[in-house]
Amino acid sequence: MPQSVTEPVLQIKNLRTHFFTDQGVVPAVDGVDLEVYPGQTLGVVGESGCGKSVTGMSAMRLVAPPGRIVDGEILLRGENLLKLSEVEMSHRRGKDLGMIFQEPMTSLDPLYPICDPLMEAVQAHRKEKMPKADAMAEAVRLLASVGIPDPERRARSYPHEMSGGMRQRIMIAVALSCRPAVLIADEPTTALDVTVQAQILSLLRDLQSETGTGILMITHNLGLVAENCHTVAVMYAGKVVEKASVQDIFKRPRHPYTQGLLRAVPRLDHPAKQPLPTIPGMVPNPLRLPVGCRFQTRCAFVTDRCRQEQPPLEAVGTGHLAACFVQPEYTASAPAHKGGA
Amino acid sequence: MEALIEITDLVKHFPGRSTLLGKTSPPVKAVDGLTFTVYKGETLGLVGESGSGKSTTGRLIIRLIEPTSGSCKYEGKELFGLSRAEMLPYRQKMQIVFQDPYGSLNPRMTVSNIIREGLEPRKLTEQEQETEITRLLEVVGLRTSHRNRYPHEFSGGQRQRIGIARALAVNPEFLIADEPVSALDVSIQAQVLNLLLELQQKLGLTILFIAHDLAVVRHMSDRIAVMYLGKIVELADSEAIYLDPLHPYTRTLLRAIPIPNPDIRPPDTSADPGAQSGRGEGCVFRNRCPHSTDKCSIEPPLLEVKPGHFSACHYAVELPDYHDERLTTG
Ligand SMILES: Nc1ncnc2c1ncn2[C@@H]1O[C@H](COP(=O)(O)OP(=O)(O)OP(=O)(O)O)[C@@H](O)[C@H]1O
Ligand SMILES: Nc1ncnc2c1ncn2[C@@H]1O[C@H](COP(=O)(O)OP(=O)(O)OP(=O)(O)O)[C@@H](O)[C@H]1O
Ligand SMILES: [Mg+2]
Ligand SMILES: [Mg+2]
Repeated sequence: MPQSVTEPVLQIKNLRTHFFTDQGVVPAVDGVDLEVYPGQTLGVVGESGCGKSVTGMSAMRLVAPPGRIVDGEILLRGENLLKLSEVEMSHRRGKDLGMIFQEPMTSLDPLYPICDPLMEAVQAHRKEKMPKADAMAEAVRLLASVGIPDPERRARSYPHEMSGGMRQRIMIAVALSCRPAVLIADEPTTALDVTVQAQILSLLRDLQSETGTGILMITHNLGLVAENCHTVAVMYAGKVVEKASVQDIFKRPRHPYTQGLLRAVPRLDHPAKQPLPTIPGMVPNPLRLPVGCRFQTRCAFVTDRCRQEQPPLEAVGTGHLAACFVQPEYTASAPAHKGGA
Repeated sequence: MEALIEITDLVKHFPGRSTLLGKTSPPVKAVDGLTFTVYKGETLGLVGESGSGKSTTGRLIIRLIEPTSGSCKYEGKELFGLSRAEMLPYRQKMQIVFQDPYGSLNPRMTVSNIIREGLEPRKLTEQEQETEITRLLEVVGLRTSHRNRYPHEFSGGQRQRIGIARALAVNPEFLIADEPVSALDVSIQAQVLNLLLELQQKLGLTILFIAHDLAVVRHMSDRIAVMYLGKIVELADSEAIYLDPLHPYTRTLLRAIPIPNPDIRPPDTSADPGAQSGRGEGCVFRNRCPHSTDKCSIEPPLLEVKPGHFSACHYAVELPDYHDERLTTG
């Protein structure tokens, strides 16, 4: 396994990012450890609202008030980004650490044609000033590289004139322009059709093998995780509940939440229009988290101990960690529920 | 089967704009001659290339934008050309859940006010409104104590559920779901999909379901229409689309579906040149099609090649058997 021979290019240690709202403190990210290795992709999956984007934004130091990083370290090649000045950090962004954001609409300025952010990105981290025509040519080349048809003409279009998928591809072109050491890709292809999705992911894989970029890929699509990630972290209510190789996550998941996720995926070989197995109940209110395991009210395997103690993230196999006292074996059909909400 | 929506020759061109050299670029043919029917109580899935005009089609039907030409009938009544007032009852029968959960919610309104807005036409009392808001929040799996929060305080998936609650508040007959679950994690996706299936069974809701995840579309749809560059290239029962696709683009799409099994490696897409611009005359898929010939410079019409199975390919019935083709190309 490459993990043992190389150091992670990005290491997130005990990250805590909390939101200080009028109603109280929301511990959106609550003690998260993640490692991204050069040339590898770490997939981050989990319930909507479990803190995936906030983790990515924290690594970029882009969390806005009332959110604040209250503890932890973000190590880029061993250097703690949280200790840098804002000016130093802004030099890392884009150049060393790129991000594809989840919101393609809101991250493009509606008042400027889309060649603007692209030209800005290609000029940003250069020592010498680049002639405008060269920057434009480079912008057009980037558009072509992410599969935008007719790039010369499209460069002059405004964000509202583009389909959701096209806007997404522009954001990807911006993020790739500097060939960053680490790329945080937050739902990079949700808005794209599957053929473009396949193209973009093969583009990312090429970039990765060429430049050794480490990718942290946040996605809901377990098919994409299976095809593109080397390791996977499953998050639930601000914590990592399982972390393992992609093989172990799909074949030997040991956390009931991971198991529930795998069952909920619609599959082409299953009957259509039938109810899908769901995970009963809802994520706990972040302002009133239960004592003990955060998944307890939705878990079919809950025990008294789970209601009293928080299970630590522990080794359950080689390179396989899970935060569960029970660690049930995975079965394809859902277990009877006894959690009680 | 009874038709709810009948679309005939629907066209939407967006005007071109001036380019660098002062020339005007050609118009974008976002929707370029669509004819299809949505039957009462069915789910028609709409899939296709990014930018192929799926959202534009949805927006045209509810008249958020005006068509260049064509007709759209709701229970036999022509909608295009109706005045704002005449359109009002239809605005309540038809609802849309948008692709973009960020742009589509008013950031200055609380969740309960966003839903209340949808309840307005139903003329409920204050008390009934509150009860209904609570019910709708529960239906979409949101905490009822969140009702006084603002959209920015929610994650992407949570916001998408607010949008769905808002659309359901109106008690629609016809729901256009534009990528309703692409921002959701799989467990909430399963809840929302189950919810839509249940609403359909209970209320006979008719759904136009736009999505990129083909496994999701197959799970939800009775029939599926495949779009490419503003045109429908294939339309058939959902099973037939997956087991016996009769258009080369549909086959390209199916091959690109990511499979949730780490033993299956992603397909090699390098042979696929991707979407082409300047499409010129003839078949829209011609530049990208492994089977194209000179004949394809003549545009193939969408024809019924098997009962209920339409394809816009000159070679629809001569294409190699899909299963054999898949085995040989990996
Ligand atoms: N500005 C804010 N104020 C209060 N709470 C916030 C704010 N921004 C985020 N949160 C909370 O932080 C938590 C984590 O949000 P985050 O966006 O990281 O979720 P996510 O895992 O990316 O979800 P999704 O898959 O839906 O994108 C959520 O519960 C959210 O309500
Ligand atoms: N207001 C507009 N002005 C100019 N062109 C537009 C406008 N709205 C859409 N288009 C163009 O129309 C075409 C179809 O867009 P549409 O949003 O319908 O695609 P889509 O099939 O929904 O794509 P996606 O899957 O990426 O959401 C695209 O080429 C788009 O750029
Ligand atoms: Mg997110
Ligand atoms: Mg769309």
